[in-house]
Amino acid sequence: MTTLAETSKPSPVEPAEELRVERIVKTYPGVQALKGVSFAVAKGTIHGLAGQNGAGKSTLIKILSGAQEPNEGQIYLGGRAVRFRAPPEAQSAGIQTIHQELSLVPQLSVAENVFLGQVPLKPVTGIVDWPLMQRGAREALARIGFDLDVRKPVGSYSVAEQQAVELAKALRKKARVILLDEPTSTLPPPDVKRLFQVLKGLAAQGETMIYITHRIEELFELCATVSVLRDGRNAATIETATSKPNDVVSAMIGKELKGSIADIALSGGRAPRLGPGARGKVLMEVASLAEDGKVKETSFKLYEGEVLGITGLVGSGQSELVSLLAGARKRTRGAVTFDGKPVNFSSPRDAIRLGIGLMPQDRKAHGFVPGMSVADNMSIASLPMFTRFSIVNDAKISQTASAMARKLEMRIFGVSQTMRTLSGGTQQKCILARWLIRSARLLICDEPTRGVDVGAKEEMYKLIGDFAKSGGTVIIASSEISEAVFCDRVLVMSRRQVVAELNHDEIDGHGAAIISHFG
Amino acid sequence: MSDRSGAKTSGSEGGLFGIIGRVLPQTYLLLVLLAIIVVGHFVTPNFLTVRNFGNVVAFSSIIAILAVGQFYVILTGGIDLSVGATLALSTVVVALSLRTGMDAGFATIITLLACGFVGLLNSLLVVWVRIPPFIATLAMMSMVQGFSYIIQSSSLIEIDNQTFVVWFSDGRLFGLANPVLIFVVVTAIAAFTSRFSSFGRRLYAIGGNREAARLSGLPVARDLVITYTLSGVLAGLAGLLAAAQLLQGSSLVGRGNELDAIAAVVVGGASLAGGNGNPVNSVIGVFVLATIINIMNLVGISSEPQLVIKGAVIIIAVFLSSAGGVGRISATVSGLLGGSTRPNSDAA
Repeated sequence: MTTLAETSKPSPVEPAEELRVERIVKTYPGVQALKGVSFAVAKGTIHGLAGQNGAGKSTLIKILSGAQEPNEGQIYLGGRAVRFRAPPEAQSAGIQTIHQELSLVPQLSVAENVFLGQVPLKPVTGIVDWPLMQRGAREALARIGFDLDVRKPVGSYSVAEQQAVELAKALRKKARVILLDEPTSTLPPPDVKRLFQVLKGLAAQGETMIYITHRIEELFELCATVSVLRDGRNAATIETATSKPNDVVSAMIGKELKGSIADIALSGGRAPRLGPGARGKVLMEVASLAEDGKVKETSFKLYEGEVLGITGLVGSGQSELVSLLAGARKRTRGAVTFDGKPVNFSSPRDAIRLGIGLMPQDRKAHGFVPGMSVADNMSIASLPMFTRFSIVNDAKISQTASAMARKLEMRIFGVSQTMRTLSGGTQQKCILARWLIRSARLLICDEPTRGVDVGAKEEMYKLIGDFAKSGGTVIIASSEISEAVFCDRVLVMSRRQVVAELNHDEIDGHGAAIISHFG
Repeated sequence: MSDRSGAKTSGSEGGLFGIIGRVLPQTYLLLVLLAIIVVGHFVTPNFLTVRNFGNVVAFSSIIAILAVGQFYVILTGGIDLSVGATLALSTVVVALSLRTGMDAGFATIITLLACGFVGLLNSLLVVWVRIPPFIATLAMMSMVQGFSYIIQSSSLIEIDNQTFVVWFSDGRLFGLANPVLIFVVVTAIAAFTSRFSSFGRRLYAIGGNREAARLSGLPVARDLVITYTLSGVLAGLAGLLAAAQLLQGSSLVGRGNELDAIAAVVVGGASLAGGNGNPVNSVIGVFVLATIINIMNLVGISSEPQLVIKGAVIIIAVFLSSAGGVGRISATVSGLLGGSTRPNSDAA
């Protein structure tokens, strides 16, 4: 590990250096997002970029992709100083960005997407040259080992295949440097493996890439060098060959993490339980519950006080199953009893009445009202509690919300701050607070740490654990094995069906016992 | 993470800018109205007279009531194109009822119920049949227009019930003309409801993110039914005012009024995507448009150029409010002043 002082020393420009970023400063009104970030990427390598939310990664991506201009600093591409005022300038210079949210038009064909904005026309007539376009798209895809029907709409392909289309689109243009912003956040493990092969293959062909991710183990698999950002500065530059994943995490959060949950997860030791464990009384019993086309018949018991994990590859039905339990979807068959009484939820409202709270998977789309304040988002599920004669008591809401924000250590100006300005982790805490205010008995978390950075992840696990310790029951639906290993009991799902049930003691730190049931 | 705890201490500053940020778009609208009034005063001496003021308010009260109902629908992310037709239906139903010799109070209640029923049908189409609000209320507009014409059966129905006319047009209470009083009360109740009631809070949530509202256990379907029904009832009330002013019921009145109401709501800063705005601004929006038209009438601009100017005013107003014109300008200003308007943590 080298420190900032060493990396910012002027070094001789090596001929193989493809991209060099020097002392980039970016100031927004009231915020200095980047305070002099520097790094260099050698040609034909994959350079890792790590950092918590707010560390400046997104700003750096925006600057490299031309979406924003830096206030100070210089970017060198292939040794030449460059300056981008708009994304097309960055693209024509050869910096192609693959954003976390893919920028494809689902209704258009693969070929049209690969050539988006640069559709080839036949000479004289000026009509679209379809054969050329399709051949070009096929070739670009073949280069990364994909063979898709380029005439079919992009929307009909899986996320992994769509990503391949995006990559092909970048490769077809002149690509000196490809920026990959969390490309694996929505990919199931087998596809991740394939993507890594593709990226390594491209590096071997001489392509230069910058890889941004929250998943430390990916950096160690792909990158030789990782630049870690913290608070808008270079926190460290780490050579993966001579370092441990913990070094990256420590540099990211700025402190040692010995004994933390993340430390245990990274080192592969036996994971601790999040909560105190089941108390023996059945809280919920599910018998042959099914939703046609989404979840096959499932039966299990949920005990009071336990943290039950439901895991599987992305799309194995765990998300749909927990949505059924929370009343967010409607069952086709089966029976559910809660507290010994049969229940049939026709809406989330019915489930909430019994004390079941859902933290939805797609936080942005389903979790909160972006334009409303933190206080309003926290109190939205318990409005009657704050209402007398249909008048809302704002003072009481604000008081309760402030207390909750302190308790959950939310980093906000105040509870009147609008929700959309918060980081993913803070937003997630606010949704948790919503159910704590409601005094929920059962918390259903669907991918509770998706899009949340390492430090916030740790806090979220602790908060979920606290909820269980204070007497609550938790269900965690997750495609992250590193999350399932903390649960008291784990149901493994495959192809929309529960295929195994494992107790905490049967699960090793790496979750191999869980993975063996995928397929 | 101790290195970020500094963000919390600057809360008061963020709060102050927060308040300015929230107040600015609203006060700007009043300033615009004031500016228009000042311009009007200099352009024509007939403008700032009690008589003319009364004319503008009487003309505006009908659209203002429509705009309040429309605001609530737009707040939920919907739209109600049927209010103009419902207004016409209201005049026909009340005129027919009065013609039968019915008591004015009864006729009023029956009319409001009929118009509320139109709103209820709208809501069922939207919530239950799941037709997009634009289409559902467009179809309803056509049906209600046709239905009004059918039950009207003659060219127009005169109203000679004096009680009714006094109630909804000629009467005065506390020194205010009844139509003005009605619209002021409607606006006040709407303003209070949107700001302080649980119902108002729920509508903002539904418009802001319907799925999040549903997953938080809000009675989304029920609230939408209430909203569209309310819009129908308010259109009916506006129709009562129109009938009393015109002394007749006719299926031809109110054509295009739905668009005036929508324009006013949008000029008032609400987004058609839902989730923001407030009813007072919608009413101010009505007055902005009405005052400009009044001035143009007094100056003697003919009706075609008036349409062009009205359209331009809508575009400018929307740029300044919901398209973020004021925000962009004030961001530039506060950027120059070096003030902090956004949190420094997690913003990147």
